[in-house]
Amino acid sequence: MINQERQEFEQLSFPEIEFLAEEEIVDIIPSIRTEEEVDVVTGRYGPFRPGEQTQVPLWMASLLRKKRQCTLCLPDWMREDSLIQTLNYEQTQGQFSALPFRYSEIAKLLLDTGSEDFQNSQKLRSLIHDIELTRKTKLEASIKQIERAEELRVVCHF
Amino acid sequence: MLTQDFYSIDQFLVSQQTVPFKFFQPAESVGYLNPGGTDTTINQGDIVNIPIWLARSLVNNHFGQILTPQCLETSNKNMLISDPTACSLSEVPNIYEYGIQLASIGSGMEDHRAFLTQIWGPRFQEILTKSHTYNRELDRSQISRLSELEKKIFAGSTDAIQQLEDWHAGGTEQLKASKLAQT
Repeated sequence: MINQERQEFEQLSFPEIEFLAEEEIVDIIPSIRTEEEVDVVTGRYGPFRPGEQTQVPLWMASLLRKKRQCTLCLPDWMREDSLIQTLNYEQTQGQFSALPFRYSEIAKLLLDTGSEDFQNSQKLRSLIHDIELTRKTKLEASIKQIERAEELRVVCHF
Repeated sequence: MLTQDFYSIDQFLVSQQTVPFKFFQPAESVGYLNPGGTDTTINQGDIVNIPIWLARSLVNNHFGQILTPQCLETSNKNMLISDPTACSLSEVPNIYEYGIQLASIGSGMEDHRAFLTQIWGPRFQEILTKSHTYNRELDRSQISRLSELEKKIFAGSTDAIQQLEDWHAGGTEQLKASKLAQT
């Protein structure tokens, strides 16, 4: 019984993981003006000035962008040259590169919501996809190290 | 080592599986444990198949010794080690749980843990690879060769990959309350 509860807690769906990724702080350039700060559960953001770059949670950025009240800014790690560098690192090195924990979800949200704000959104999608595949291949290849483990720990979460 | 879970039905069922046990002392009135025997007493030196949970208790009290079960004999082990991904585990569907429960008893059974680790790695990697290209109509024969644990992992892997692809594709979906919020 206790094991079953733990299983249900650990198996988050992809939309739930995406929801958690929306807490990521991103840069936006608002096109609206607010006089006071916006007070939400996770903190206070604003006041917003048109053209003045500011930081807000991704869920707020997405909401404002859908209302065409801001322009999204690419995070440094998501620029095309950074992604190319990251992909090269992933393909040549055994370790994983330093990316945000939920980089895939953050990238998808940004590109789905604000693709018009970025010059080369298709290229960025392709690079993110390539990085995901490379990391997945690297994970599968690392399973061979289990053969050298002294102990086999079997914890069935199904 | 296997995570001990008192409430696990699967572990309970695996502990019911039998293992050959050699008695160091005679045991009276338990001859029914030996279906092929006619005596009501198990004599010293007799080898009887008894459940793992009983064998564990008898080993702890120095009543006897667990012998290597047939599925974990050297010949079968060598066959599995030579090509782990080609062999079928359909005849020993709970081999991992069975072997780990045996290994946890000790009494010379610890080597099974290393053997299971040795075959687990390549088979697990094969399962992950195959789950990307799984075709439900054509690949049923592949699934029949897996153990019960491997089948669960394969099912979970294919479901997760399908969910990932659905999430990437986007589109409409039914909103469900998060498991964190469900009572």
